[in-house]
Amino acid sequence: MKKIIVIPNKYEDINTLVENTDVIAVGIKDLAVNFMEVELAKLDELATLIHSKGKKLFIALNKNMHNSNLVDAEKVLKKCDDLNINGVFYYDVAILSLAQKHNIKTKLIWSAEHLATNYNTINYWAKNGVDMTFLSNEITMNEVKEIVNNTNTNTSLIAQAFGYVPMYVSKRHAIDNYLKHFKLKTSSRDFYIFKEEKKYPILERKDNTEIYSYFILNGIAEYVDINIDYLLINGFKIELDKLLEVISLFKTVTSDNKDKYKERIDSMFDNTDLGFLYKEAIYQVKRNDK
Amino acid sequence: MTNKPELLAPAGDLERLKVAFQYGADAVYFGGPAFGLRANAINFTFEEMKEAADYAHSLQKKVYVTVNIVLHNKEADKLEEYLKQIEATGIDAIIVSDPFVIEKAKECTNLEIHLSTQQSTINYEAVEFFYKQGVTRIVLGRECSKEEISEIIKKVPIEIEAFIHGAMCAGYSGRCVLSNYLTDRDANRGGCSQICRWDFDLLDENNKIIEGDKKFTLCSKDLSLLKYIPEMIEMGITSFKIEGRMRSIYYIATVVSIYRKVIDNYLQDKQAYKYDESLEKVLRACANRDSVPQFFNGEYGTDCSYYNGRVEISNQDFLGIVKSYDKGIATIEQRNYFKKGDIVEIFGPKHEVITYTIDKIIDEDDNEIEIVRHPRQIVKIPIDIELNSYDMIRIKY
Repeated sequence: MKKIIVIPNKYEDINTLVENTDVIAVGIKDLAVNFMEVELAKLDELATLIHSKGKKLFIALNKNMHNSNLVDAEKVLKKCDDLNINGVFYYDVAILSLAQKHNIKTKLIWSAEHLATNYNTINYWAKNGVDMTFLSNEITMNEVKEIVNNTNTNTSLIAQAFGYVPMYVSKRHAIDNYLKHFKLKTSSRDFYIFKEEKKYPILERKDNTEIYSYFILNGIAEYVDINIDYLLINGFKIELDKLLEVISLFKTVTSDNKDKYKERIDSMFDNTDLGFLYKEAIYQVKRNDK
Repeated sequence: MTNKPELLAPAGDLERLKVAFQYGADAVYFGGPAFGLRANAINFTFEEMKEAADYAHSLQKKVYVTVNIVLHNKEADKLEEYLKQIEATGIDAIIVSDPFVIEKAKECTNLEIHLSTQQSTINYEAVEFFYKQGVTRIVLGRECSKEEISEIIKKVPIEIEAFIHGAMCAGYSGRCVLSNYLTDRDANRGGCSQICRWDFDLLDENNKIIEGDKKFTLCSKDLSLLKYIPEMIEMGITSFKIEGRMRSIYYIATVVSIYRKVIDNYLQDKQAYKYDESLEKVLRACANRDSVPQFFNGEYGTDCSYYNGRVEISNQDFLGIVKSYDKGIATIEQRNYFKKGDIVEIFGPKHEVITYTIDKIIDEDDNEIEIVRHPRQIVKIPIDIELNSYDMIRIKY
């Protein structure tokens, strides 16, 4: 039975979401990207709430770590063991290295986003002490199936099956720099970049700029018959009532109702898509034709 | 005693590789027929790799091959054979990104392994991890400041390679797939379509355009650390890397020769060394893009970005390349329009920049002509200063 991980859109939504999902995943403020952020000081309270409901809490320490972030990252890892956090999404191998040095027991999730694209590399990380892998969104369903069939059995797999898809992380403050450069003022809290009739969410954090896809991935029908351990529902920019309905559909979807459920989700949003699940991005090394 | 850093240049083909070495590179990196991140470059065949390695070794220099794509399932089967074929060419190291390639290379070859900047390695813990995996050199992420680089060098006994010049990724390398989603071209497998150079409308929460004088873009200026070379030498960085496998021979000759000169001048006499600002102008003109130190000084504000809606235009400064010189006559292959009476500069690896007025041009049929207008036209120019093949002619700055 697949378990459902939900990234909340807002902290206030967690109380409701925890009743409806298996795992809540949040980012630790200033040490995560592409996750809703939580202050480290709130982690005790959050872990208590989620564990009291018999559910799991995964956290993200998945920004690109600079030397100055390592001390804080180490503190959080130690706290994870104290609070029985159930998993840590990481991008930078420094987190794996720190966890091993300090004999951290919390499960580690290799979450290199666009780089988790083949079972050989997943198995490499498994041999190096990683417990789970969060698959790239830029692989096809056939590749997902091959990975499921060829990955070491001691590695759990996670795939994003719903929500906006992270496309870009930069150290630069793209919005702030633009506003400063042209001496622009705005009270807006949300931003988008717009090109060729498509609108991409863009947001800035203390150390990063992130950009998401213009579409909401709707893979509810696609993963029904795949033996994957966790499906991730990204609640970023999804209203709570709609998110709850999506979760409910994911929990009850079967081979028989998958098409109807897919249509239902498509009808709830005007920008759903299947991303790269059935299309391969272009890649060909040009022949040397000198 | 200060170690002399390696000056590492890019090459898209054998001609550019030879130019890079002639102009002072200590090592050159390039892509092979597969598994590289520049799918649109010409790239080297195995035969050319061998020729490149032999040529480099005859000069006591080195060549490295990029094997830095992010692997998909289907490619892994061909990897072992590919790595063995590369090893057989005699190249000195491979530059890898996917850790499975590290494992495979260690298992089936004795190749030296460098970790690509595509891993965005920017801290000492990550550097130490890969050091323990048998990697001999780390190409750091371009987001590192000088303090961070110094701390890494102090804490981990591994060769560190840092970019000194060239184009920048706007995002962390490996963490940008805008190209995949906006153009269906796979950024991490060599298909990057440089969406960071596009312009966009920036919208607020009410879908209203926030409009500056120019449109919003992620576009970054280039990197140039020319001014900081002495500091970087003292930091103990092993290798100074120039970006640009798809750049022209003129670009490579110009950039390599300038950095060569600065490195050598500093090491020759540290006390007397003085920074020559005029070299910056030559670098800027040759790239046709503005350049800044980017993250090196820990500052990366508005000055690092391009907001001028600029259109990339090709460089017109490069006028021709010397193919040969014999008895006072230089045979030149044209690269841009020039004419009789033009005052030009001739530069090359074996002499200082020469300012020269072209007073006579002879075509291949021995006719005297006024203008050289045809692409790659071969002409002869009488000149009493001895030139060498691979010397280049540019406009006078």
